[in-house]
Amino acid sequence: MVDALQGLTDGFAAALTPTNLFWALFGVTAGTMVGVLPGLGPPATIAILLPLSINLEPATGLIMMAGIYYGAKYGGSTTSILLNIPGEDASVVTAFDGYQMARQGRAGPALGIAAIGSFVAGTVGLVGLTFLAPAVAALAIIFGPPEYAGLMVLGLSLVLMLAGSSLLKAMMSAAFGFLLSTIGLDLFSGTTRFTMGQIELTNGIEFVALSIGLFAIGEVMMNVEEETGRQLFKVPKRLKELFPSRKDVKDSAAAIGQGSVLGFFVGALPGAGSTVASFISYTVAKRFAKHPEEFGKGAIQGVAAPESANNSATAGAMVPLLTLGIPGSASTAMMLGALFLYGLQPGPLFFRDNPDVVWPIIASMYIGNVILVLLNLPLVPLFASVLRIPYHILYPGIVVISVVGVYSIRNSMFDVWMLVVFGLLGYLMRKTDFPTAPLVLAFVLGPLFERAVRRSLILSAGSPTIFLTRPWSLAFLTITVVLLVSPLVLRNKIPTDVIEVEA
Amino acid sequence: MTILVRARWFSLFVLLSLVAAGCGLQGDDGGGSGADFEPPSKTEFLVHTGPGGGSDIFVRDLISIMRTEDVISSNWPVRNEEAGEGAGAMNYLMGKSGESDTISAITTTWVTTPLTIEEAGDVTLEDLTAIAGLIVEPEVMAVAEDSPYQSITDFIEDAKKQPGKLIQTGGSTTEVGALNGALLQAESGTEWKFLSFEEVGQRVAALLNRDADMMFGSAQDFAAHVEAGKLRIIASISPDPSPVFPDAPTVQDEGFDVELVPQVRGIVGPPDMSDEAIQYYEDIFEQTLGTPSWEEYAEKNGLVTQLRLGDEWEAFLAEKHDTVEQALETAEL
Repeated sequence: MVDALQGLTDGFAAALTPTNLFWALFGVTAGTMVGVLPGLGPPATIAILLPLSINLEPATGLIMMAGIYYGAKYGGSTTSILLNIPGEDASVVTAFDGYQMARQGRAGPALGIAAIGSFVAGTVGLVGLTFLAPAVAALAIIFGPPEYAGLMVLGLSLVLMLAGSSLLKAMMSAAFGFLLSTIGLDLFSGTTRFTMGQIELTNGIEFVALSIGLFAIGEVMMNVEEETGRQLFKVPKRLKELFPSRKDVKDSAAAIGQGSVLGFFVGALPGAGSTVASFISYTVAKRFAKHPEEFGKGAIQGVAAPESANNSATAGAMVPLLTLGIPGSASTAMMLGALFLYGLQPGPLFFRDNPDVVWPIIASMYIGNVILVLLNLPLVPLFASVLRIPYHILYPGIVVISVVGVYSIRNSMFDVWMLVVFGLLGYLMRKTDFPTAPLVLAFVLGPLFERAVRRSLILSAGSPTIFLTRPWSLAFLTITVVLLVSPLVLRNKIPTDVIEVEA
Repeated sequence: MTILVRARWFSLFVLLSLVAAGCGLQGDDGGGSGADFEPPSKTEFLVHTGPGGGSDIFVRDLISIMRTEDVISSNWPVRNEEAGEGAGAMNYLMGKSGESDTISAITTTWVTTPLTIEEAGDVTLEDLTAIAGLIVEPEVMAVAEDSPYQSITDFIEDAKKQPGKLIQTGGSTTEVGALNGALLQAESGTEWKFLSFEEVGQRVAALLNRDADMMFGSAQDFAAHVEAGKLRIIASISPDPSPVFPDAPTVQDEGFDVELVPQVRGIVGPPDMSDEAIQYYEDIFEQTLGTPSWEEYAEKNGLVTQLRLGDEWEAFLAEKHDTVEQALETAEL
């Protein structure tokens, strides 16, 4: 504790030098841009800037890379909210309610609460990184396959809560998402599944093509079909409407709080990451909301929770990287690669042997968070004014951004065709009133669940009791059962309209 | 008003940042080492993993070293073709037949993929142009600190007592560690299980939490944990001892007569590359591997430099093809 404070103080002294401040600013700005635009993600950006960063001091280079990483989570919400285009994987959930808020003329409050939530959660996550790193690292190690399986059961059970009006349709949507996620190379057998001989499908369906197709393209098709000229977005008139009201902040406080904590812990687990964190936090927010029926229709908590979680998760993801040398995502793997290039050896002794590198990075993340909220809040009115653009320009614009973004991920025309296919699917699902959220949830969590279960069964030689004998796994399964059963038991105590929506 | 001012400052900053980034990345045309031949445009360096993957990081490091040592005069762009464990990258190279401005980093995976991934079609390494073999990454065997095993013999003896119970962790069931595990099982007449994880970090975590009994991996995967006293290295799974763990006895030292699959990294080009182009790239890599920056990098990361040029590299790959094929048969994959 005292060591951590001392380290942090020294870290701030180093992070506040003009050079380090400049590169933190550079990193978070680049990250924001990368997050706003779909396509090029943080790992690719860090990779492209690697030649630049190796000419810097190790701490400075890492300060910049970390800036790109968490900066992108700030920016990711922007296009999700305004255009229903998830700018970044971890912002897919933000589109559920964020875009609906934008349609209701509440783009400003949505963007504002995303920035505030990101700032609070990012800082809470950093406090966790500063003081709890060794303890949380131990947790990351304890988390084996059965524990992941339990966590994923909890996550997938949340499909029921994303159901909307028809449970059956939600289940069908989730099942389809699950099936889509099985396409590609199977690690356990070394062979491919359901690729139909297509080399492009050997790595599975590109998540960005799927999510942007279902959300953005599907939405555009739906809207152009309807009568043109209709006012789709309410345009806010007064400046006051451009920022979250006191009530908005109060309503979001609990969501930001749980998102901060959940995001940090889920982010610290190698292999889970910020996308999973955002899903879990969203569904927890819905489960404990006073008005869960508002979720999916523009609930501000539905923006606050995932945006908080995905930012806090970046601080969480730094825990196994800095304390164990174990990266949990492609971005942190790039940072690990850079550390090796600097000739450093991140591992259990990294904090002890290289405090001059570790602490400036952590301190700079506190500073970066402040810079980001100062950069992003003033931009809210600017971004929100995007919605003033006439539809005959806005819609083609959305299509162009989507196509370019999807193409740029792996320079693949095939992915653009997938975007078209999922755009059509998104349109058809809207027409037939199938919810798209369960599909996306199952697509993200499904493979994690499948692999965790298969690994667990390898460990236990096929015996399913392993899920009950490992304490964390048992705990997650118990929570799942309680969450699923409690609405039934409490049926008499809750107004019936809530139950119907949840069922 | 303040909002507008801030927005303006922001755009100015964005502009400056872009300029700064541009300066850092820009440079002259791709240069050589004084040879007459020059590729028509800047060389594109292909890798078969995504950003942050093993080959991707290796190539970006390699380019940095070549740039630092002025072997090349500007940074070569990296292209990621991630599909199908090298299958996508191989097909991309096939489409560049006869051209001289695309080269690719390869690993042992490129030997395995045509044998295991149907979607690769008929492409094999033989169709491509062998340019240079660069390194071997000696694999070592790691166990948890408090593991009962002091040597690979201990482990195999225990496996014999309880066949099919012990667990080796690693990546895909067709990667080098898994193949060597299969070869050792066949050689010693016993069986153990293989636990696949996508990420190296997850494998190390499985070792640290005792879910897995042992793992084959590179020195880099384990060094920090060994130093911290969490893991022990008990064998070298490679004929070339690891420079980081020189004391680890090889499998042959322990009396197992088996030819294992090495983890190699090297360079190939598209089919029908011109002789001048081959020579040009051979010179660049030969020069790079002689620089102090490279030596320092190789030493720090436990890599064994083994420069093989042209025909020698081609013959080496052909030989490894046979070893891998045999291992796959043994593993029944």
